Amino acid sequence: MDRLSSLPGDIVLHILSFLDGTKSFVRFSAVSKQWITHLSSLSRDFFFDDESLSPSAILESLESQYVPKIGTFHYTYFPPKQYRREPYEQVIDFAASRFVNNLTLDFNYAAGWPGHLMGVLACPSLKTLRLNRCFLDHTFSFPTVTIMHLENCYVERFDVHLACPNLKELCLVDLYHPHISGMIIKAGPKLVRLSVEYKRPGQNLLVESTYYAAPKVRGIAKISAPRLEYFRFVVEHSVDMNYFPEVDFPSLQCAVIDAAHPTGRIDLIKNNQKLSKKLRGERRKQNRFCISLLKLLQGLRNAEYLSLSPTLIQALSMLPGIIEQAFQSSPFAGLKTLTLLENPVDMDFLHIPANALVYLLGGSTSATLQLPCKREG
Amino acid sequence: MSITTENNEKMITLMSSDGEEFVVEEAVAAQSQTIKHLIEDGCSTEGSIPLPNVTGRVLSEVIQYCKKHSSSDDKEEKELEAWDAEFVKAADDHVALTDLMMAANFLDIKGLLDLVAQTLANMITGKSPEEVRRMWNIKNDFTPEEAEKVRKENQWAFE
Repeated sequence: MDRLSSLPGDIVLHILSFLDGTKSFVRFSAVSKQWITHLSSLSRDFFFDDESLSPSAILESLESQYVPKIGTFHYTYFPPKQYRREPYEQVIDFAASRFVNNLTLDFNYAAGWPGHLMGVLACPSLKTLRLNRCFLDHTFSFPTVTIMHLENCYVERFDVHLACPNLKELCLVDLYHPHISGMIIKAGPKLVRLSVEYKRPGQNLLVESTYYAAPKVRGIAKISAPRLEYFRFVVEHSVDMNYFPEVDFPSLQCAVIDAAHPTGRIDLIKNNQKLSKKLRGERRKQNRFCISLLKLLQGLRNAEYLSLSPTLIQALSMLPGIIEQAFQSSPFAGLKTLTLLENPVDMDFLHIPANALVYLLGGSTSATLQLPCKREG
Repeated sequence: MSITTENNEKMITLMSSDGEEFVVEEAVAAQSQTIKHLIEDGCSTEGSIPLPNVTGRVLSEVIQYCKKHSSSDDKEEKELEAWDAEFVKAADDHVALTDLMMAANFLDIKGLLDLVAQTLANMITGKSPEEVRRMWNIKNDFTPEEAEKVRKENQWAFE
């Protein structure tokens, strides 16, 4: 019957709204593009951010509704003042059973061991995962996730290429981990965007955890990502972060490095005067900072667009003598634009050393310099 | 309300797209929100109400449903459910059901719309996308690459 070829949209939607199994929902997205639209319009989003709602209350409300499919599920768990077993895992399991696509969980460090995330681990529809204040031990693995955002999370070990082989985008904010000499991150062949931010390094997790002795926000020693195109590394200016990760990004196109010099007293290492013990320690710290910065920049050599905060460029001109020869030729052969980020601390004295500029721009024939614009993030 | 003829119920004439006329009580016809509004607007005063989207065959089924549901207010819910089940079973194939559903949609009869939608939903559960496309002559508008992508992403749902 030809008449049937134009099954009206509202009729289709009505039929689909009576489907029971969530699997049918996903399966019928293969019927036509129109059906994909219909099916996604039936999926529901949930946001639970209310401290007064207990997991049991949330479960009760969820189970009383018609929820064929969940698109986005946002859940913050507020543990009770006194320990009490609560079914927060079942809340997450509910989301997993409705084949959630985007999941945001904040556990307030009260829970969130991978054991608590079992339902989610097995959820094949999961695409975007945002975890805040969670513990992730070495067993965690999210094979279907393509975008992951970890904030204030404790991560025991992080082999991205094994744990999340399909990851395209990764954002790490204040990573806690037990490796004193820095964590090593190995990304899979699909990762194209990586953002690392430090807001409160050195801080302890405020947890009465018996599993780990006071894990801290710590740096990253090494990152390798064969297909990475965009890299962003931001250290808040109030933060005393004294080294950068060593990186290996053969496919890099764009990099943003926004960090302040560790102490702000840049002229310190310039002078060869006799230094007090305290200042000598300071100088060693600065040297380490500068060397790791140079290593980082070398790892970014394939970038076409590079954005740096001015203090970093100033720091470059003060490299200790021993590695000055590395400074002679610029590694940035394909650089198109170098952008100086606005630097709230040092805006009053923006002098850019010539040798640093030569190092950054000298390798490319067509690089342009863009002076302070708005600070990213 | 009863379906006996001795009361002085106002009768309404409905005309299907193929010119068939049906005379029904106003209460029965008013199960359809569309017809109810037409009556309220005074469209029924002269002659019959034309229903250009509904064929006589489908309209007779719709009227059958409306009659049952307007007369069964005081009856057991279970009996009505059993009647509904028989009713959709009689329509049997998805083509007739889809016609019925389109009519229910046009006439705005919520109960019938839901009943048929549920039946059709049950029918397609467990079917493959290809079978569903064939059922309704739906054009496969995916390019081979897109189809492969969708299939790959949703592989787990087919297992």
